[in-house]
Amino acid sequence: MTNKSRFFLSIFILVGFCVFGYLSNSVSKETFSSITTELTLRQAVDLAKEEVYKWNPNAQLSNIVSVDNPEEKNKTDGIDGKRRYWNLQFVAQIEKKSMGLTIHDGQIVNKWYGEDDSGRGFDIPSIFDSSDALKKTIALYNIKPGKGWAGGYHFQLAKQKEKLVMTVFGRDSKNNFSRVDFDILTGEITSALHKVPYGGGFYSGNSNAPLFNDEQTTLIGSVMSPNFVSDKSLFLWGIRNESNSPFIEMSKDGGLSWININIQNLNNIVNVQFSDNYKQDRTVFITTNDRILKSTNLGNIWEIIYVSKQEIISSFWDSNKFAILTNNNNVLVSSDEENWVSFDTPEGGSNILINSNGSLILKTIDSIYARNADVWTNIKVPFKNPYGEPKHISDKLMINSYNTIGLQDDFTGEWNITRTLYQIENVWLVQNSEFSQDPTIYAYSKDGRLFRIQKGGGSFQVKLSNKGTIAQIINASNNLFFLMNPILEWENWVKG
Amino acid sequence: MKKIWIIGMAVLSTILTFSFGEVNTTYAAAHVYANQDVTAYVRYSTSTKPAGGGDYYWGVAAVRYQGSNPLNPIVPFGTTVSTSLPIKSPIGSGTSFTVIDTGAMKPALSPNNLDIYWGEWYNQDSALSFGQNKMTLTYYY
Repeated sequence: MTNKSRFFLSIFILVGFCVFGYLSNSVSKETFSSITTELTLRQAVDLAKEEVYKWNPNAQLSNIVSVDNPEEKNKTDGIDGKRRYWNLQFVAQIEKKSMGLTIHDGQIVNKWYGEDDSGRGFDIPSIFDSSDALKKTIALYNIKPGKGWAGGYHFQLAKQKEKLVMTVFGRDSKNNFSRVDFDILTGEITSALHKVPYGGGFYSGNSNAPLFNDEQTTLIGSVMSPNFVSDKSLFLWGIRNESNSPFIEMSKDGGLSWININIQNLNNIVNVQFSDNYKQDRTVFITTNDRILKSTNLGNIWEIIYVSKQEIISSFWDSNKFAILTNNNNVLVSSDEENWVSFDTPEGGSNILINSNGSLILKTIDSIYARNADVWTNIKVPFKNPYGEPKHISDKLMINSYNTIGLQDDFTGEWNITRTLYQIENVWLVQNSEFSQDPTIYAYSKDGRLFRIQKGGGSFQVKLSNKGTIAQIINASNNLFFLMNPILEWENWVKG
Repeated sequence: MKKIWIIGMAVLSTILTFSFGEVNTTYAAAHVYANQDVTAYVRYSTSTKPAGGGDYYWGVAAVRYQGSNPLNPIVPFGTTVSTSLPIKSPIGSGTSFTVIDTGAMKPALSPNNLDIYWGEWYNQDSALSFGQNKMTLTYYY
């Protein structure tokens, strides 16, 4: 064999072995990832113990909970009291230290360490497992497996009020999130609860009768025509709870009756906006996670004007200028809905809008930027930790923190600051019917009170008679409309 | 000589394959998010039960939703959230919190924020002074 032949033979063998090795490796990974091992709560604790005692022989369990398998959202897991994924917490009470472990498919895949001074450690009892608890819960309450988040049946063991409580999580007959607690030492049920929705819907003023309410839906947004007083047109959108699918409804009589807008392959709705000139052009835009739709005939026919390869997370339309923010730190702007110009944004943008100067305003996790002369400039907000979703109406930009509301004039740049004595949950900037007046600020506190902020900073509490949490406030002819989410309350669950 | 050459090549190729090929079978069980909002909430008289529904206790957390879809919370049920700094409240202190419920839809905070139960209404001042803190949060699931 010549040296040349030997060289080519060597290359051939090298490539051959590499290909064989790669394929073998791929197959073994495939086999590895397809192995699923489900454990009961007790088995998960036994698996973790050896590792934990190496860390601290006096460690005590403080919490174990089964974890959703994110890869299989629609599968019924936990049917026999076993789950693939578990999280466990152990504490060393004297040292005030903690150790956490994650189990996937019968293997400890993660360990972490921290501090704990809660005194919640307990010795592991040897009786009553998740499979026993589930059998008993199904027999007594006919608990159903959940779909989506908290899918299947879930299990937890933790100390509550000095009792060791094992909990089975699932759904009741109306698909409400439900839980049954057992005293693990006696096996007796100590509590059965389900999370029941109250209130919610779309209300005019302080009326108790909603203009729109459907227990099977969750409302997310609403928008009114700029000529609502005369044309009574408005849109509502949200999610159908059972199917987890979006819907959009239109009313042409101020909410007395509703027409479902049927759009094929409708993705989650980000925003709906009327044209400023809706009275003449009858134009409405819907932005979803992947496209922008436009109707010029009262919502009867919708045409796609833009399709995004990246997920759209925020959009804004103002005076023929469209801006959309995507999840890859990119903003696209168009003045004619055909030609789109793309800009990179600072990292982590969450909201985009356009101010009265035509400047783009971007909110990121902890900063606000304006884009002027092709440069993003950090807007100096005169208070710490602004976190509210920015709002813009009538030449005013509004930002808030947990106890401060700032209103900046687009033209002068001056800030008007209001501090509150309550924790702010959300704020809205509502246009008054007299456009010469400044918009009114409404602040919603964490404990469910609504305040109208007066000029000079005083707050007047607004009486609310409808039940739920406010998701949005809009105004038409000095009449406020409230979009309410239901309050979900944990209540006793009666057997049956 | 020829045999040694072939065996040498085989050994070398095997080493190369397993050195540079993708053999990482570690699960993506830890998800780290820097610069996240950590806030505190108290129980007011209008709420009958805490996140999770059982008796109130330290270490329970609720999570919010992805985007505007309230049926799609940001992390799976059972996730443990570990904070980069110990949290000290009137009812306990530590660095780990277990997600067993969802909260109301509130878009205001950073995408992977954590809202920690701080006890009854009379701890409101303490919760307010804890305020809004930026921390690195690690989600284990």
